[in-house]
Formats: sequence, C-alpha cells, structure tokens
Amino acid sequence: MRLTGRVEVNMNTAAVKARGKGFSRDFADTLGELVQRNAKHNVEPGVGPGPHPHNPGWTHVDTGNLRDSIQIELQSRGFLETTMVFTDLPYGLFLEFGYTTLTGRFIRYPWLQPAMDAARSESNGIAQSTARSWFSETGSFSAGRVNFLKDIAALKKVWRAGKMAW
Amino acid sequence: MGTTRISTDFLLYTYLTGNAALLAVLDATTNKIYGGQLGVPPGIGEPKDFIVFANDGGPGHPDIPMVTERFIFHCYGATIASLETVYDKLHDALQRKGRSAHTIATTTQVIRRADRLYGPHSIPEPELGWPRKVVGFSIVFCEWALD
Repeated sequence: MRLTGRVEVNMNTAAVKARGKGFSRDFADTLGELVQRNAKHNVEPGVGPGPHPHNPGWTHVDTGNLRDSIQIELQSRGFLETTMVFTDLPYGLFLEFGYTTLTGRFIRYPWLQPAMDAARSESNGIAQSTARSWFSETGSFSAGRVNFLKDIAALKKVWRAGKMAW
Repeated sequence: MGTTRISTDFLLYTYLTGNAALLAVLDATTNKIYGGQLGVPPGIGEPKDFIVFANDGGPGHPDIPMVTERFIFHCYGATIASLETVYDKLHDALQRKGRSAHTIATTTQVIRRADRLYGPHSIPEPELGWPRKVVGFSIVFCEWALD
C-alpha cells in the first residue's frame, strides 16, 4: 500500500498570469532597450567606418543621423511580447547587408545584428534579474538575499534556544 | 572524429556547387556561386543569375564537436523573375536540410543542418540598380572531419 502526497502548481491563476505577462513585457522591453543602446553605439560618429568610405576625400560628415533614427517599439500579441528595434533610413539597411559601389568596391558595416548578438549574450542575466523582481516574495530586486538573511536570523534564534546543535 | 578541422566556407561551397537543381538555374557563363566574400565579383559588368555568400561566424558547442555558423547569401538575377528562381533553388537546397556528407581531400566532412535565420529581403543594389535578395541561414557543422 502506498501513501502519496501530491504537490501541484496551478499556473492557470490570475496572479501567475498577470505576473507572467508583466515579466515577459519587462524582459522584452529591457532586452530591446539594450539592443537599441548597442546599435546606437555601433553607428556613433567616430565608431564606425566613417561616412562614405568608398569616396575618400569627399566633404560628407558623420552626422549621427542613423544613430538618431534608431527607434524602439513594443508589440503585444497573444502570448508573445515583442520589442522591435528599427530605423527607417534606407542606408541603415544597405550598411547592414552591404552593397557594391559603381567602382566595384563592396561596403558593409553590420551594426544591428552585432547589437542583437551582444544583447543575447547578456539575456540570461537580464532574465534572472527581471524574474527576481516579478516573482520574488517581496517583489524587491534583492529579494533572494533578503530571504537568505531572514533564514540565517531564524536559525540563530533556534540555535540560541538550544534546539539545534551546530 | 578525426583530426582535420574543416573549412566551413569550403564545405558549404562544395555542397552548393554539387546541387544540380541550383546550378541549372544559374548563369552558365559565370562561376555561378562565389564563396568567401560578398559583393559583385570582378568581371561581372551586368546583372546575371549568380550567388555570393560569406560567413558571419558563430559559436561552437561547449560539449560536443559541432559549430553553428551564420551565413549571409546575396542572390542576384538577370531579371527580377530569374532572381526569384535563383532564390527558390537556394532555399530548396538549404532550408531544413540535414546530414549531408562530402568527401574533401580524403576526409568526410558533414553539414548537420541548415535553417533560415532571416530574409529573404529584396534589397536591390542601390548604386548598380541590380535586383538582389538577401537571406541568412544558420548552419550546424561537425567541427572535425571524419577521417
């Protein structure tokens, strides 16, 4: 004869759903802002290859227009929270994927994909810190540490009362 | 697993140039497929049906000898209609294709799987005005040759 205790976690509750949606939105938002920041840095005047690298000596200046044009937009559809990082300037597209000039030189300076790659490498840490703020007991950023200290305090009380040997 | 580290660029080039359906739709007077770097190759002065591709790198697997690399392809067409055909054949050659082994210099080199990552984006050459499609694939390779 078997005696069984069963633990169930019901995900289909309003509280969990609300926190899940908030976490997803926050996570997507934070990642999107990081991609935007990285992308802006990549096309910052003085960081990239400079203006019109196939026409040395021309009087064009690095205006920072591409950097200033990079925007962010959040979309929420069903279970999917999406953050779009984009530019409407055509030469942002040409720089990203490259083009051949009339003189036969190929110009390419990917700036968005590397920004996404850099953000992806940080995504685990961002997911953890975002989750901590949405799912921790206190809702505070450092909830794990607070709980740890509470546990130590409780154990000390037990020890002082002589109920536990160290 | 052997001791020969593979060149993923050359292995992919070998795979694509061995695909009869793809080669059949490419321009007969050019080299058809150019690997290693992007841009219109020297000697091509007018729009033709050809493909150039380049490696954008990617991570190795920490536990097993495999690497996942991102490749960017630029498909060109003599016309917009023929460009569509070129892209279709490239897509058919790569998308969701798995386990393709090739003999290169007495070793067996393996492409594990290819999946489309982004695109196809229709981005005509801005200065030349030639029709072009850009697509990216994520391709998994066995890191070492099976010799």
